[in-house]
Amino acid sequence: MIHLNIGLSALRTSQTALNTIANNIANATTEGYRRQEIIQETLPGTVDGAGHSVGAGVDIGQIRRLYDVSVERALTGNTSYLADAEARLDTLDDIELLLTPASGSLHSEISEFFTYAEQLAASPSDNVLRSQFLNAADGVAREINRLAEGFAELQADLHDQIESDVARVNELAANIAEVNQEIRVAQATGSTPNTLLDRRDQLIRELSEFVDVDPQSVSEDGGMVVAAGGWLLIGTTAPELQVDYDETGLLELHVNSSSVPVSLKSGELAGLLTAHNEIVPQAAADVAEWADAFVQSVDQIHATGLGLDGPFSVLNGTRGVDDSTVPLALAGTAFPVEAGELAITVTDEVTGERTTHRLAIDPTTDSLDDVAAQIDAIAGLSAIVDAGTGKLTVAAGTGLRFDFAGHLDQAPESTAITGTADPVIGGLYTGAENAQWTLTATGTGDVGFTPGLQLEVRDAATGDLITTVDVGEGYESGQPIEIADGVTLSLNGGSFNSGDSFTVSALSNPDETGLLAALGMNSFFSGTAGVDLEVNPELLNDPSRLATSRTGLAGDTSVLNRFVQLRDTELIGNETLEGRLGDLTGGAGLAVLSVRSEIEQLTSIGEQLQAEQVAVSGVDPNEEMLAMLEYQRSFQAAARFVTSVDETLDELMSLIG
Amino acid sequence: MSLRVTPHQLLSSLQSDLSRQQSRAAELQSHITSGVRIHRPSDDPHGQEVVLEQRAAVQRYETQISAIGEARYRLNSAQTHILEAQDILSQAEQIALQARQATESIELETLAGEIDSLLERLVAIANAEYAGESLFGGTATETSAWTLDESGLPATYAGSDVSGQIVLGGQTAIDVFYSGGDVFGDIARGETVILGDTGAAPAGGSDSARGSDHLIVRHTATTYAGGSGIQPGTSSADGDTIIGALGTHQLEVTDTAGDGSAGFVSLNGGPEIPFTSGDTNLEVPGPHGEVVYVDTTAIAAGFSGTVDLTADGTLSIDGGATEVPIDFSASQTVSDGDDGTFVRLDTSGVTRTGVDVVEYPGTTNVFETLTQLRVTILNADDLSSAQRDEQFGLRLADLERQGDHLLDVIGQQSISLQQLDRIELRTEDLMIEAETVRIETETTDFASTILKFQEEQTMLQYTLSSLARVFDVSVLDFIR
Repeated sequence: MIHLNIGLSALRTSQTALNTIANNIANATTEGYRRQEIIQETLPGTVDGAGHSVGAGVDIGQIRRLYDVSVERALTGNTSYLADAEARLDTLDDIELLLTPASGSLHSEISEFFTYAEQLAASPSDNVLRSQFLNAADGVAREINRLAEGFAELQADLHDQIESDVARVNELAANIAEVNQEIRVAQATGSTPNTLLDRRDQLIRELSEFVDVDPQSVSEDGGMVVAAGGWLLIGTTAPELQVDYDETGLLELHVNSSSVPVSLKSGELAGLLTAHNEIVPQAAADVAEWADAFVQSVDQIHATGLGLDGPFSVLNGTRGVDDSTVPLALAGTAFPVEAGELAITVTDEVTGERTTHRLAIDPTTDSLDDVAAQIDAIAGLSAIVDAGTGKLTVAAGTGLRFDFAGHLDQAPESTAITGTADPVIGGLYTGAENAQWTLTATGTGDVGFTPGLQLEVRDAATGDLITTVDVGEGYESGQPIEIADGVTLSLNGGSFNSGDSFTVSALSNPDETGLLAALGMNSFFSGTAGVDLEVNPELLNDPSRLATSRTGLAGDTSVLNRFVQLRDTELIGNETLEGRLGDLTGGAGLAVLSVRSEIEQLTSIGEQLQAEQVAVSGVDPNEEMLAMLEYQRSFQAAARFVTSVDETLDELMSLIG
Repeated sequence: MSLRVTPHQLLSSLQSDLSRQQSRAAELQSHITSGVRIHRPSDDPHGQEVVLEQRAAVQRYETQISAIGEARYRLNSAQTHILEAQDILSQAEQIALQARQATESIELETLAGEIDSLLERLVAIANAEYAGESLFGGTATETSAWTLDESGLPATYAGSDVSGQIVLGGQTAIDVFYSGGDVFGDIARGETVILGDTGAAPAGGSDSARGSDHLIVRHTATTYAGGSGIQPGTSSADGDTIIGALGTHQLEVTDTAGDGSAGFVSLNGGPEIPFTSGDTNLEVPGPHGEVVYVDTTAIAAGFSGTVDLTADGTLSIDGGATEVPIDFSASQTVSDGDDGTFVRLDTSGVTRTGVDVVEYPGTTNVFETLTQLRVTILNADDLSSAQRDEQFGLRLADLERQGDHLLDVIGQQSISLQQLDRIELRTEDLMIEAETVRIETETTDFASTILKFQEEQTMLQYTLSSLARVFDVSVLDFIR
């Protein structure tokens, strides 16, 4: 009967092979399915009565998965890196979209701002242009706020996405632990749990999309899964990831209740964390830096100018400090305050006489209260700091007004004149730096009469000779003569004694400290950039208050020209405002391109690895069909053999019967 | 060894290729239909920066060209007005020449009326506006450049001494709102001229008084050198018309009676006037119309000889409100108490009282020049024929100076206009260049894009075709 057993083993083997083939064909398109094949073994032979060793048939040694562990590991790593890059790309795409130039974008609004500044400088009395200029500035403020809001929303979305991903990771970890348990049970019973192993691989692949997975975790026969930079150890139980904020507002992941943050190497979560903690904050900081530079510069220029109404009787700061009693450097000013001088000019409304007071301010020692006290000490001015808001208010006494325009004083400091000359200063200072000149008579005589009577003009700080002006014979009394950079001197008669001197101060920058912008005194904008920045409502309500000049005259465009020149000023590093914005925009595009290129490379590698994986583990129906034909024939042959044996036995039986 | 490929893998690979090709084709199609190849920064980061830069530059050049247009309109408008003002001054010169020859008062009044008419036109020009802005107010464009007095004449310049400028491209400043003081104001002070008979003369140096003044030389006291016994008469203080240091004037006394009771007196060699010891206020005229009043009641007996006189007086240029004693020096300062201005006079030659006209050439604005011309035409200062002729000469010189100055201003404006033309041309060139760079960077190169699009289409067809072919044959077709 041994012959029948051989046939039977062949029939059984063929049947199992056909079933395996059928299963392969059925799962040809199933994600994560690895082709299986049977490993046949010859059954040990037996020795017949004649002493010949005869084979006992065939058996199935194993149904094995076709599996290339190195390719599987590489593919898992690739999946993780790809998901990381894709997560970063999504965020970079969003940032790029926020910074994409279009009508109404920050790019067009800032261009409008400068365009209207130039147009207004060409037609300074045009009230419509004045309003358009203010509206353009409001557009810039709106865009700055919109961008800041956009970045905040982006971070909030990223936070939600991270929360969602962490939940999914925990779910996958739990599933892997469950499958690991089932694999362990199956392996203990001696069976090969191919389907469970496929399921495990599939879960690991999915997990690698979110966090990095240690390559050793990918194996043919299961085992511990190590993921998330080694922090997530998944055996038959799984720990849980949690999302927390650190003290700086950045997101961190923790395993169970560990205080040490998880450091991810790759995966979507790594990308999202990078986006949340680095990419978005950096982009927001770049825009905030740009906005601060713009707002501070514009406010500073505006603060030292005058509107058509001229100097002020009272001025309320729009920005406060946290503490008016501590040095300004520590007081929480909106913009940094530098050491230097602040010039305040008091004008007598009746006589028009202007007197400029220069206050020395050191932010490391002077508090806002100290500054207020200095202003308060100026005759005719009072200054108080609101204890609640930390805002400064300056008011002029009756018949007086004040400003920070640093316009030239008509009467110079002349205590060192022993003659009868009474110098009068005029003109418009055009120099780029604050200047102080000492004018000294080189001889004794009458103005406009004595031959050779001259005044030497020297830089008060260096003593360098700037020029010498003739005020003796030939000088027409009362006529202005330029002493330097648009500043004129007139003398209506009188006399000088040799060595008589007087000092003339000319201010290009009446506020070297930046305090006016920091406190929002006569500011162009109010509020905080990125939060509630807007054009000072007082300007919008009354455009004539827009400071376009240093004299208050409509045709004086000195301050408007400074707005225009701001366009070419290298405010941020060595870049202009528009240049920097272009740089940020180009940078955003470049970052997208860079990550897109990274993704293309990873995708290409992934496709290659996929091909290699499929080459080993993929199901080819044609191939299976051919194998099926082979086993079909094998089955038919075995069946024929059994029939032959049966017929042979029938023959034998008939002999007996 | 070639890789084993499964139909599923083949399909996945083909789908992936198909997706990439369609994506590229869609992108190219977008470039073709929109005409723009940079829709977002990542399409070409550097290109995007170039586009932004050039777009801002184009916008800026457009603004500059617009500003140049504005500046040109203003300068042209100002130039038209100044040309008209210059024409008015030419007409005034003609009127002055006519008036210089005229003698009939009616004719002179008619000519003065014409000057009034010219003045009115000049006032309108000086306060001319462009688009509601004062053209000649300097930076004070909101208000009229010149305020008018009660008679409608420009009294003071209310504008700014600083010219209003347009700054092009943040760098080149062009004056467009000229200071009225610079255009219509005084130009350059000339030598002070004194018209009159008092003997006062300009001292040299630079005076600060402007326009013209009446110099009043008033007598205060005459003293006589000792020995003759002659004394000032009762009307001497107010009536003497001589002024001079000791010895400038002399009185010749001849005692014919021998006891001082009668004789003759003669001033500066003039006619001999008989006197008696009863004369307390004897008028003694000199050869040039000068007069002294003397008291001869105490003539020394037997005195016959020459007596040196000292005649003191005062000077004033503000109608007598501020008087300074004459010190007969080479330089004496006389101030105007009203405005603090002064004139330096050589008073060493002052010999008689009177009212001189002090002219300060080159210190009047065009309105004052015309007003003064009107005064000269009507001879309101009651000058002699020669003095009036000299005054006409001064007026004509002022008019010529003012006219020349206006031509200078027109010349400056023409230079500015030429400068604007050059800047405009350059700006237009730069704008075209920037626009060209922007277009080349931002817009689609249709020829190459369409070719690429066609290429992608072909690739797509190949992919689809090969996909169909791959699945056309299977083992199943051969199994029965």
